Amino acid sequence: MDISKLTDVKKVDLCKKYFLIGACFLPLIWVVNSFWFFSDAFCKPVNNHRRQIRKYVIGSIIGSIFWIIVLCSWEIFFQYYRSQGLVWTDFLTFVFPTGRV
Amino acid sequence: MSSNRDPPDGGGTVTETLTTYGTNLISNRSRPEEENQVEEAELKYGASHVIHLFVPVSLCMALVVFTMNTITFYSQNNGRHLLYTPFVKETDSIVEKGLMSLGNALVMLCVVVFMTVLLIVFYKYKFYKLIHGWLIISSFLLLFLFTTIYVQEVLKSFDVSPSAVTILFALGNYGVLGMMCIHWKGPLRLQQFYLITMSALMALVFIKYLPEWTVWFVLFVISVWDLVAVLTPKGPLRYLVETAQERNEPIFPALIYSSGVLYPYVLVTALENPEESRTTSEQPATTEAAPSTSAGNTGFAPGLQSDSKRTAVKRIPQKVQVEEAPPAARNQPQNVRIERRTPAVQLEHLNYPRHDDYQEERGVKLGLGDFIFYSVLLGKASSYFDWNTTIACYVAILIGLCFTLVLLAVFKRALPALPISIFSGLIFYFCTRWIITPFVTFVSQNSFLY
Repeated sequence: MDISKLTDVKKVDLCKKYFLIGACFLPLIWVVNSFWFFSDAFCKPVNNHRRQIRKYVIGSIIGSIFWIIVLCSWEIFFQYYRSQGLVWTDFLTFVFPTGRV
Repeated sequence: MSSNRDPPDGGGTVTETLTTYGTNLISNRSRPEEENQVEEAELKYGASHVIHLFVPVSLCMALVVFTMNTITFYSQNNGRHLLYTPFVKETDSIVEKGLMSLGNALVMLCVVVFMTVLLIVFYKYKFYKLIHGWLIISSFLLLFLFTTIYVQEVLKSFDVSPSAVTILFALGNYGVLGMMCIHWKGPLRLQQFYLITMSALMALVFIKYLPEWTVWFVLFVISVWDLVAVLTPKGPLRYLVETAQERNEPIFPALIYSSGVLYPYVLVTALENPEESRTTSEQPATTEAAPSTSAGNTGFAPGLQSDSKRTAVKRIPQKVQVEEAPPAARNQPQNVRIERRTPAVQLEHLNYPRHDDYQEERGVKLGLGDFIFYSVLLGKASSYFDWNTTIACYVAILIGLCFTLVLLAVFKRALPALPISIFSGLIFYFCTRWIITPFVTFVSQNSFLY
């Protein structure tokens, strides 16, 4: 759907809903939220609604960055120990590629 | 104005008033001239949408071809087969193979017909919730299960091994976002992306689990069914179209791909009085809920936007047989409609104020079943690793699509999008495979030309 045709009130509502849904361990929703409402939050003249959208977008951006850092550090940690061949990493491996010939 | 071009409902009487008003405004000019201008505008409008449809169709096909070429999982059968293709005995006799494939194709057709009839019964007796639930379950399965299998195979192919935690977390996110984009509200591009990837996944599953010759027979038979179902007076899909038109409603959160051009519904509503405009501003709620369907049904089958995939419950393919119900999208969404912005085109010259609240998505809509079958054709053609046939089929499909859209502009009614493309694709495939490729091979081996 095209948000440029929505009223400001509806935009705030949608942004808020996306923000709240993203708070349930769903950082991808936050990423989408920040991209989608970015121009509305920062590139347009400011009024009351825009301030709220800005608040949510900033929250989404911070949340996404936080989750990205968490995921990356976990992955690095995991791969480091996996390369050492520890047993517990085998339980958490998703797929065992057999490599190419 | 012809009845096809009635503006969407805002209420019956209002519609009529506006229509009459529109006509009155135009009758000042010379009729044939005005008609010509409108026709021209419509054809140009339609032409740009042909291009808009090329991109997603090509992307879907590219995804399938790329997957077929890089991941061997989808080109192998592993001895499993769908429940709906029961004849899978291994033989060398051509006649037997042909008969088995024909049998398989007919079984699939029966299943498809049954599903269509079921859907129509549900639609007729207004079991909308059931249909919604069906759609949600099928997209849920596609988004989570099939994507997981796909990701697993991609990771194996590329020799990468992330942790299960990361993968499951990412897949969960992807799936939830997909459900939101398709069934609720989401950015248009993202929704289109999800529809394309789901179609590609579905096509890959078909290519994997349908036996060799069966694919071609199934494509042929389904195209014929599409033709029959949409065009004959008693056809089920036509019935669906007409019922939806009568009821004047878009119901399903469409699993229909829309080129997604949004136009403010505008000029017609601008002529309404303020009370009407306030009531119509409530309509966007429904428009938003079904983003790729038009809220007002400009005379074309909005019900067909309901045409969606039906996938019944699929069991995890650990057992010998993989059971899967074919998607309904095969039958229904194989229609292409163009939403007319005729009122806007005609009145645009007169500079009426725009009523921004009332939105409507106009544009050519193509059913996901069409995406799936085009991709099946191309994916199967590319699985023999002969680029001649792949490109020939691709061009044939696109030409067929163009031709269908031209016919759409001429006939202005719901048309089946499968037959022309699939028939030309099949003809090109077999001609290229049996005639062109040996010719080119012979010529290049003997250095006549290359």
